[in-house]
Amino acid sequence: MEFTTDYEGPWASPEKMLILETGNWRYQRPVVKTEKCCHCGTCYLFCSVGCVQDTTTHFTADLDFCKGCGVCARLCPVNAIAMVREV
Amino acid sequence: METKLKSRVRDKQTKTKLESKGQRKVLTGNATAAHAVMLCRPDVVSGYPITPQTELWDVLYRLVADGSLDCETVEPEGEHSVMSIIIAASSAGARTFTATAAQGLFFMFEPYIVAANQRLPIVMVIANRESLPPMTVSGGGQDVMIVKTTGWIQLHTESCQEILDSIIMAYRLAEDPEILLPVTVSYDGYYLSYFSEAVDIPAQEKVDQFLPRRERFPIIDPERPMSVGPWTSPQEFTEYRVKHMTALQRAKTKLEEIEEEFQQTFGRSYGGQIEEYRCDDADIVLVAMNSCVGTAKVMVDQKREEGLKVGLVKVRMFRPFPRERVVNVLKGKKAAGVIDRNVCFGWNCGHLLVELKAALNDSAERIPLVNFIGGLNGGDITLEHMARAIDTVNLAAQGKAYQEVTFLELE
Repeated sequence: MEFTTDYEGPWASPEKMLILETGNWRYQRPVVKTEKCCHCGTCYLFCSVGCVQDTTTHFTADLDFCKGCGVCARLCPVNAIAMVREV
Repeated sequence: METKLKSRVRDKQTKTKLESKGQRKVLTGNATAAHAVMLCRPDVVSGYPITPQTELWDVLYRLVADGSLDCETVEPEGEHSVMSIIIAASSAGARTFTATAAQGLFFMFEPYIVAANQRLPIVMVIANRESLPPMTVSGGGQDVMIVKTTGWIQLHTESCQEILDSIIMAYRLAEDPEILLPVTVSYDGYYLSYFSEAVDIPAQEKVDQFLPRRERFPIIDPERPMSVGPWTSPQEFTEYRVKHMTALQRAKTKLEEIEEEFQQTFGRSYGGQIEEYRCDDADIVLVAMNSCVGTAKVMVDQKREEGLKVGLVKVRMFRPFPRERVVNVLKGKKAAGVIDRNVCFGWNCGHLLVELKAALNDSAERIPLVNFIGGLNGGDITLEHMARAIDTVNLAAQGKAYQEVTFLELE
């Protein structure tokens, strides 16, 4: 039998978690209206998977990991984020 | 003042001298366990009082207070927190110890399972006690039997000396790189926890030699971040379970290897997974666990004098179950009597009988297995009970009809 896990028990290096493409779980995605974004960083701070990235002018979500929870859209003070259903 | 100090220094010197040679002391089972823990030098101990193991903490804290043991002690608000603290300490690489019984164990149950699945080499004592209700604080094997399939290794002991030796061996077993599993050392509440007998306490240096500190991995380390119990795929999850089960199976022969080394160092041995007592030429055997084994041995000797070829199997390692050795020792026997100090709800018999029936499926022979349940809620399993058990098994061996389960208290 060939094992792929490194350790005897459920211990793993944290990098391994990044391999999990949690973006697969998403049914809706955040779309940032870049001209409206005030670059305040609220979405960056509150994103539960930490997938929001700073492009220096606005923020955007890494869709490989974004689960589509919508917390960024809910908290955005200028309503710059819209949740769009995945089809 | 000065003379007082001098005498204290002298006391300490005499004590150190004794320690280097080892000592012989009269101790209760609980006190023996505390002394064994002292010899194993844990880094963190944490416990909560519950009968019949509270005395263990009394003695252990005295040993910490007088400087015999240097370790962190944590006194949380209940057993759930106790095991959570022990899990955290063990995850950080500490050698840990805890103890509990019955309702305390059941309150601890949720983190108790985590300890095994997380592969942490924790050693703990369970001083066996009945489960409530009706109200009881007395001895009985129910608590430790309820947790038999949690992935912990279980060692059961017959005497105070065996408690001491088993705890030392338990640390070796738990911390072995091939095992990395928590070990429970259990002894009968009251019968052994409060029973005083002479115990050989080995010298600290000898124990240090036998039980060296080992680098183990993984541990929580800020320099090397780890995810503990992360999300896994079904395949990885299954792998962890298979590895866990493989380690449990390995623990059977590992205990015997460790015990061989133990015998070379300390001169004592208990037969590994099971002890076979006068079994070689026996026609019938009793199978028993824990403190009632002593009574059984006396009655086996007595029946031998009367000409009956009877032997005794003591199950020391209950988890993993010593399937191969049990099948081997029962080969060619005509019947076996199984003594249980617990009940297995759902099977209408004792736990040991269920295990033996499962194990004997590996064997081509079918022999009568007669179950005797006794000693519940602190009841005695007496010589007379043992005599009756042997006589009943003897009749079953001759082909007479027998009742599968007998409750000794209700006869």
